[in-house]
This record gives sequence, C-alpha cells and structure tokens, in this order.
Amino acid sequence: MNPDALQASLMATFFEESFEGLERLESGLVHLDSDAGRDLIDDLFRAIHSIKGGAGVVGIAEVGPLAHAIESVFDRLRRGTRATAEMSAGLLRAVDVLRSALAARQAGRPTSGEACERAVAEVERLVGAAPTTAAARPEITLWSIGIAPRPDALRAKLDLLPVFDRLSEFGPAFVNAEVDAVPLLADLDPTRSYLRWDLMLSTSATQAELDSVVRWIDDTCDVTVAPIAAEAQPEPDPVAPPPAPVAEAGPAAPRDAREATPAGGSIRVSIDKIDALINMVGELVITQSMLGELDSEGPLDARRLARIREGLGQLARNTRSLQDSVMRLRSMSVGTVFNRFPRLVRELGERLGKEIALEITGQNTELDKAVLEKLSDPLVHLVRNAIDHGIEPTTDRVAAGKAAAGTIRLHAEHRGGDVVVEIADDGRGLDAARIVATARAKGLISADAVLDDRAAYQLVFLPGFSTAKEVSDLSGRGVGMDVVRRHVKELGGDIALDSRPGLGTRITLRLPLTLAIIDGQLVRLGEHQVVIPLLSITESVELEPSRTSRLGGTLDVYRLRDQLVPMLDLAALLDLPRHTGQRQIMVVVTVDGTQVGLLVDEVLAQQQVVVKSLEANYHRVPGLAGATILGDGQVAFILDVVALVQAARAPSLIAAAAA
Amino acid sequence: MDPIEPDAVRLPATLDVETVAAAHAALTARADAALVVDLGAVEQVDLAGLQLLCALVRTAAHHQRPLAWRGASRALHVAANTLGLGHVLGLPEAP
Repeated sequence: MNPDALQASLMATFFEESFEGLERLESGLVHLDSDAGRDLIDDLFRAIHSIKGGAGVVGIAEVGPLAHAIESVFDRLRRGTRATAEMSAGLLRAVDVLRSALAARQAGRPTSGEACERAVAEVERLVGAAPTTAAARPEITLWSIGIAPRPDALRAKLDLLPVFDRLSEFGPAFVNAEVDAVPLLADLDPTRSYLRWDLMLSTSATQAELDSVVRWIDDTCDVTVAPIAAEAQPEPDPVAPPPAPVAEAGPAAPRDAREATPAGGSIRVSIDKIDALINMVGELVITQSMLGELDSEGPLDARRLARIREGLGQLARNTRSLQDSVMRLRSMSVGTVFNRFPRLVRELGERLGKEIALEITGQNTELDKAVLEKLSDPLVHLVRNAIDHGIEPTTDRVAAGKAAAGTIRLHAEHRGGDVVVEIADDGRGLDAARIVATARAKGLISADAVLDDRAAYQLVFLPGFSTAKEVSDLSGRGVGMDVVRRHVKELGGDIALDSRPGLGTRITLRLPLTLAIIDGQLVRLGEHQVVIPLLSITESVELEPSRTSRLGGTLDVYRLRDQLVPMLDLAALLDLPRHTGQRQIMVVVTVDGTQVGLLVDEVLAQQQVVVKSLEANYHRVPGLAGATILGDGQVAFILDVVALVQAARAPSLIAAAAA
Repeated sequence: MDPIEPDAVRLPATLDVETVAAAHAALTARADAALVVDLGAVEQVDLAGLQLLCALVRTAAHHQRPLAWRGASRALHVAANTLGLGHVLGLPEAP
C-alpha cells in the first residue's frame, strides 16, 4: 500500500471509529450521574482515549487537548470523584464540539480551534482543574523518532521495551516496525540486529524531554528525534532515517487523504453475515456443478429432466437466500438511531421542566441502512412532539392523578415483511375538538364537516397544520406531521396515529425492510402488467355482480362477507386504456386495517421484483411506488398501495396531500 | 489450549540473544515444510527472539509455506505489540 493510500485508509478508519466512540460517549454520558458504575466510566474512558490517540496518529492535533481534558474527567471519576448532572451536561457539550471538529476535518473544512479551546476550558472547570494545564501544554506536536539499533545491539542486550513504554507515556504513539531488512532464516545471523523503528508520537513534551529518554539507548542505536510540522502527515520511510521537519509539504497529505476516501460511505458488517454469504455462495457452486453434470451428451430423458427441474428449484432457493444475505449486509440495528434519544429526551425534558422516562425496546431490530438514515429526522421530530406537546407539565400530571414522570416509549419490531417503529407517550393525548376547530379556521375542511375523533386526528398530517398556540423552538417550527408523513412515505412506509384523550398518543411507522427488492403479485390490466406488493394483498376474489353496489353515486363497493369494500378501477386510476367488458377479479389489499379492492383482468405469477425508482429514472407518479423489469424485458409498474388505499379512504385528503 | 502437536517445534521459555542460535538452528532445519511452532512455553523474549520470529514469518511467506503458531504468552504479546510487531507476527490470542 502506498503511503497516500495507507494514510487515506487510516483516516477513514479513524473517522469511522471516532464517530462510533462519540456515540458511545453520548449515550453513556446521559447515565453518568445516575448510574456511574465503574464499567461505564471505563468504557467511556476507553472511547475518548482511542479518539485522542487516533487523532494524534492521523495528525488532527487540534482536538487533542479537548479529548485529553475529557479523558482527565473520566480519570478523576475513576479515582472516586462523584459525577454530577452538571458534569454530564458539560461533557455532552464537549462531545458536541469534538464531533463538529471531526466532522469538519472529515469534510475537509478547517476546524474551529477556538471552539475547542473554549470547550477545554469548560471541561476543566467541571472538575475544578486549574486552567494552567491548558496554558502550560497548549502545543501538541507530532514527533518522528527513528530508532535504528546498530548490528551489535542485540549482543549488547539492548532492551527497547522500557523506552517505548516511557515514550508512549508522553502521548499517543504509533509504532512502525521496519522488518523488511530482516533476512530469511537461511541467511539470518540471529544475534545481529536488522530491525528498525519509526515512532510517531503526538505529545506536548519538549525535545529535551524526549531526548532524555532516547539517551538511554544511544550507545547501541542511531536515534533521531524530529518534529513533523503540525499539518504534515506521518510518512514512515522504511529505510531512510526519519524525515526531517517538512513544513512545506504539510497541507498536501490531508487533502489527498480526503480525495481517496470513498464518498459512498461505509458500513461495518458482522462476521456472521459474511459467513452466511459465503455459505450461500458455496451452495450455489454445488448447484451449479450439479446442473453442469446434466449438461452432457445423451438423450434428454424424463430422469434427466427431473434432475434439471430439481436443480433449478435448488438454484431458485439459493438465489433467494443469497439475496436475503446480501440484503442483510446493508441492514443495521435500529438501536443506532434510538441511542440518540436518551440525550434528547433528557435535555428537552430539563428545558421544559418535565420529568420524562424513556423506554426503548426492540433496538436490535434490523433494517436497511438507507431506510434507517432517513428515519432519523422523522423520529427526532416525533419524539420532540411527544415531549413538547404530548407529555403534560408535572403539575398537570399530578392533578390528573397520573405519575409525575411522563413516559415515552420507542419500540421497533419486524411485523410481516415490514419493520414497525412505534413512538408512544402517556401524555394528554390529542384534542380532537381543537384539531377540528383549527382545521376549520384554516379552511382545511368545510365548516359543516363532521369528523369522528379518528378522522380528526388524521388532519394533523395535512400540510401547514399546527395547533401549537405559540411556536416553540422545539417542535412547532412550521414543519410538522405532514413533513414527517412525506418522509415516511418516500421510504415506502406508512404512518398511523392513535390517541386517547388523557392517556396518550401512539404513532406507528411501518417501513419496508429494504428499498431494493419486494415480493410482488403480477396482475394484468388489458395489455399491461402491473405489480402489487404481495405483503399488502389479503385475498383475490372473483366478482359476483350481485354483490356490487354504488354508494353516493361515485363509490363502487363490494360486499365481501359482512364487509363493504370500496372498489377501485386500477386501469382508470393509472390512465390505462379501458378494457372492454366488466373486470372479473378483485385483488383485496389492506393497509392499517382498511381494505380496498383493486379491479384487474387477471392474476398472474408471484415473483420478486427489483424496484427501480421512478424519481431517479423519470419522475414521481402518484399511486406508483416504482417500476421493474420483468423476465421477458417488459416494464411493469409497481403500485403504491398506501396511496391507493388513502385515495379510497379519504379522496379529499389525498388530493390535498398531493397538491 | 491445543494439545501439543508431536511435530511442532517448541521454543524454550527464554528466547533471547543467548538461546536464539539454538532456536534458529531448530527452525532452519524444519523450515522447508509446513511448520507448527509452539510458543506456549515462551515467557521471556528479547529483540533477538522477536527478530527470529519475524525472520520465520518472512521465510514462510517467501516460500509460501504454511506457518502456524500454537499458544503465546501474555508477555510475548506485550513485547510484540509494544514494539509494533504484533501485526507482523500475527500471534494467536493470549490465553
């Protein structure tokens, strides 16, 4: 690996690990004052220590003092200082500063050294440290220390361990051992020294301090100690003595590192998943060789045909498993998003003077990384809403005979082929009357519209709807539930809201496991084939004309057992040429308990389809979730069942949302 | 720990500049085939010892012959890692 590539991969790993470490710090710090066990403190100490060390090694010196200051606080805690709420809040702020400094460096922007310095001062105040530490050791320098033992050093019993130990006490050190000069066994003189070292040390120690250590070995080794300019990247040169100060070469290296960093982002994958993948590939190879054997001379008799069928069946199973395994590579646990909430809940609760407990369950539920990333903002919004509007002030709760502390529950689980995420609070619930009044006042519904509570709650999803009496900076920022719903629907998901006055509100997000592949039911509409996501289909029925009727002159319904199911003419909805004659088959789809019948000409095969985005290839079309290419090369549209059901449930609402 | 394999080369408790020549001879004699080296006993190691292990790794890699370590004491790990040789040697997990 050339030095630039090595540096780039070092940087990438450093950022990845550091952001993970910061997340660990963040979720741990929230519990610091209430639950500061030794294990927690040790874990947090390790997290910040690695960031400090890594930053030194990759040459991001400006975050060193701050990381060091934070580390010192944990060190104090280890030695018995009591953690306070003020301390954990201060450390959380410092973690924020650290994160933005690292994010800036990752994005190639200069960091604000000033912000870091202020944060250092603040952190030091937390433990009452004299600010002199900061003043006395402001300059962290990256040193290159070359150690080349002379050939006879081994016989002179050179011991480098104490030297390396002592040097690493000055600061994080990266030890590069140069072994290329060590000959093969046959040519080796085992008592002659061939090894060399180049240490990179990030420290505030002075040259004199370093010299005093390396002096221990200068009778047996050639040693050089030289500073590397702050911005210059360590570039271990194997054979030549360590580089002299190279100030002018400085800024180039970090920029190269950035350019070499892949822009698509990376993902950590557990070994289990890789192993599963390797297993699948193994099975595929077996199937392939089985099929390969059949491809020989000789008649294609019944026995051979049966074997081919068997092989193809096996191939289909393998492909399916392989696909599942590959999809799992992209999946991450919801916990990575949920973990941000303890802090949010705590801080907002404090600001609003509300006591709030957060319960998280199902955090190990996995879903596609792309879905997860886009889920974060809507979730933050919903949790903020719950804290701001849902949970009542403590006095109100006590007056209502409820527990003083409100509870917010975050839950995730796999349900069917979807992932369901629930955000529930035990607050005051939605006020249907007020929602209706607001909607009327804003002209969102007609003055004489009569809505039951459930229908009234759905009004909060309308664009521009907000009942907050005054706009707070927490949740009432002009964006509201309509934006949340749009985000969720863009992910191919659905959002439902349920509320009981005085008992609380529950919002349920239903999200697809992955955006890439779905199980589809092919149906025919005249000349066209259309894919209906299999998960939403409950049944298909052959129409009996006697059971159909028309309500209110516009809506056709079908009496399915004891229920009236609205019927939608898919061809008309999709603007496809109308087929002659009455359509005969109704595919019943269900979304959140609401059934809708879709009229089609024929139900064809079920198959997995790869979803191609319409937005990316054409533009968004209401009612369509995407398109796919079938085995015969034909393009088929994939229905957006949620939108269709909503159209049937409340035509005016979908029209308003689409506007 | 793995049972001691009969064909493994077992290195002594002290692998230093005094004993390294003997170990070198033992390893050189066996280095033309796949090799299992038992480090379980090695408690004391110096630069000469570590350098010998480096040479062994390089030799196996050069001739593309399999090399497997058995056992490695905490002390050996600490020495190798402190001197930046941990990834070169690829020692098994410490007991």
